[in-house]
Amino acid sequence: MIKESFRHSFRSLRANKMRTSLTLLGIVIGISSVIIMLSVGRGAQELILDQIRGIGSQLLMVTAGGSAQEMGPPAAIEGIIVKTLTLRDAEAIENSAKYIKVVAPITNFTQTRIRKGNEEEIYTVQGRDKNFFTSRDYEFAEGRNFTESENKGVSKVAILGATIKDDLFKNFSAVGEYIRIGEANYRIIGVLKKKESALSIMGVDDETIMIPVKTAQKNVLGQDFLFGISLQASSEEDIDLAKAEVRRIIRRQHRLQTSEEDDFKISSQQDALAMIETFTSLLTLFLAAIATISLIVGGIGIMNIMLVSVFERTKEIGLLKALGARNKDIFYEFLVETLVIMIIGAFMALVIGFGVSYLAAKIGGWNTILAPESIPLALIMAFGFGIIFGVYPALKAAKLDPITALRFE
Amino acid sequence: MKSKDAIISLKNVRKEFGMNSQATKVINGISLEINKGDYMAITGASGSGKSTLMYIVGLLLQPTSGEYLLNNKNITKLSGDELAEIRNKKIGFIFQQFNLLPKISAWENVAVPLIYSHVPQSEQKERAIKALSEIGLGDRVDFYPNQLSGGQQQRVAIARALINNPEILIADEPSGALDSESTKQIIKILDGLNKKGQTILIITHEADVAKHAKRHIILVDGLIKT
Repeated sequence: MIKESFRHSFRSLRANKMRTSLTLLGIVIGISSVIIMLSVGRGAQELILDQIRGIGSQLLMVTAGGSAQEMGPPAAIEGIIVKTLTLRDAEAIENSAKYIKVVAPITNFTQTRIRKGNEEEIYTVQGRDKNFFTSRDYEFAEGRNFTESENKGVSKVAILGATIKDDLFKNFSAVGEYIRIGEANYRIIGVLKKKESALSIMGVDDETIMIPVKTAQKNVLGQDFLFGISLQASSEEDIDLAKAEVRRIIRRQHRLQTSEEDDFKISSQQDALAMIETFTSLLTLFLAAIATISLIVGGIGIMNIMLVSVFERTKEIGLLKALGARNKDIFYEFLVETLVIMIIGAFMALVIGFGVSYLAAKIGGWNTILAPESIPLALIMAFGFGIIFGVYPALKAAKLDPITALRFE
Repeated sequence: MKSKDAIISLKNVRKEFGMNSQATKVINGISLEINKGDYMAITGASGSGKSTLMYIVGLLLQPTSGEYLLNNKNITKLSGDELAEIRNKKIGFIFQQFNLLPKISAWENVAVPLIYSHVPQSEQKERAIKALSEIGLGDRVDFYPNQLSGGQQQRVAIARALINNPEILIADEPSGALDSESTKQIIKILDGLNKKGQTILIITHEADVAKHAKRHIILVDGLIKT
């Protein structure tokens, strides 16, 4: 019987090519947009995660202030100023941590008026240890990193982010030139290469002026505490040991009792990855949910057209009933017709969805990720929506009174 | 006139449309027996209830009251799907407008009742082609209805009606849409079928057609005129 219904529906679909293709269009757009959104979301997610992975998996970041949740952001990001983390903590780690190879303190950043000749502009200024650049694989477009003495002293030298250099010096070399930060002149000793990614753990490096930590604390910020300490573990395997060790050292430094909570937070690359993964997954889901709306619209379209089809075929339904079709025979015939359209639509949507995803990836610059679950998903969506939007027209057809239907002109 | 041969036996059948006091009484108590091999014509003015009676006999309509016996079995209270199965196996319909499905071929039209009696697909075509050959359309099996003349279409419809060897063939104004030549042809086919023992009930307003039947019933205001 079901096989017969399939034969019938193919025949009926072929007979109404225009109507069938318009219905298909709605379904194809609906299902393919879900597939595309999933794929685009996934591709963008991988792009972001790759960039974070690229920063290095041996890295740890200690930030001032505890956090209410394990995965939550450090207190400093929420705008709470915690003054407990200092250069003395950084020194303690450097002196006694076995599993830490590199220690690189950084200060808070601030928006400051910068002058170059007569030009005046507001830029972000931050104090960073020279090790910060080496441990995180920063590359210099010109000039150099801080020297050891510049790094430890209160020297008036600066490293520029690529965008600031372009703003202030256009195509000319910036190294050896001077800019005025606050009340003092700073000699530019280096310019960072433009970052490939717009994303960095520290925000937008391209738009930051970086000066030595002590210089930033004394001359610009007027504070003796840190925003955080960037650490590099001796190896990737020791990352958990390193984390525990650093925690012990800082707790001792801060004289915290056993009962007291940490007043700092140590996060690893893994934590950041997990957090961003959660966020981007939600984003993907959100995109897919929006695309589902177009699928619902397509589904309503198919219901509409099936109702028209039932109306047009009223006389035929009456005849089939006179010839012995039971209500359920008629019901299946119409339901199967809806499902056939949906399933054909699903396959077309897969082709189109994958094609567009591929193009989007080309344009967006990420690897095409064709979520393999798109295939069952598309079929399940097609089947599910087919049932949801096919049952009502099919029931309407099945319940037609044979004589009324037969006499229908 | 009680006979053990009665295929169909209606007992005091009434049919009303609508509710209670506003109900329109269409059939006002008809008792009727159709025996095996009968060739019966029902005539009557429009509004006499002859179509309603035909639909009741054809199990497309259930009477408001009264009894319907088919092969001595009371089927008055059967469900819609049970009636559909009986229609499929025991009743063959021919309509004034032929009612062929336009988008399928002649043999596929003839095979439609077989679909609902779950005959295997391979057998369907075989039987449909045989039925068409018997009625002189063996060379037209793959034609679509719009490629056939009115008379030919009605013959396809007859083949369809007979495909399941029904107990009774019900013809509703079978020549109403045909010219006189085709009418003669169709009537000749019906006469021939009856000679071979096919029970036929024909509803018509044409006296020429009715006179071919062996029994003639005239309906007036929902009652058989005696």
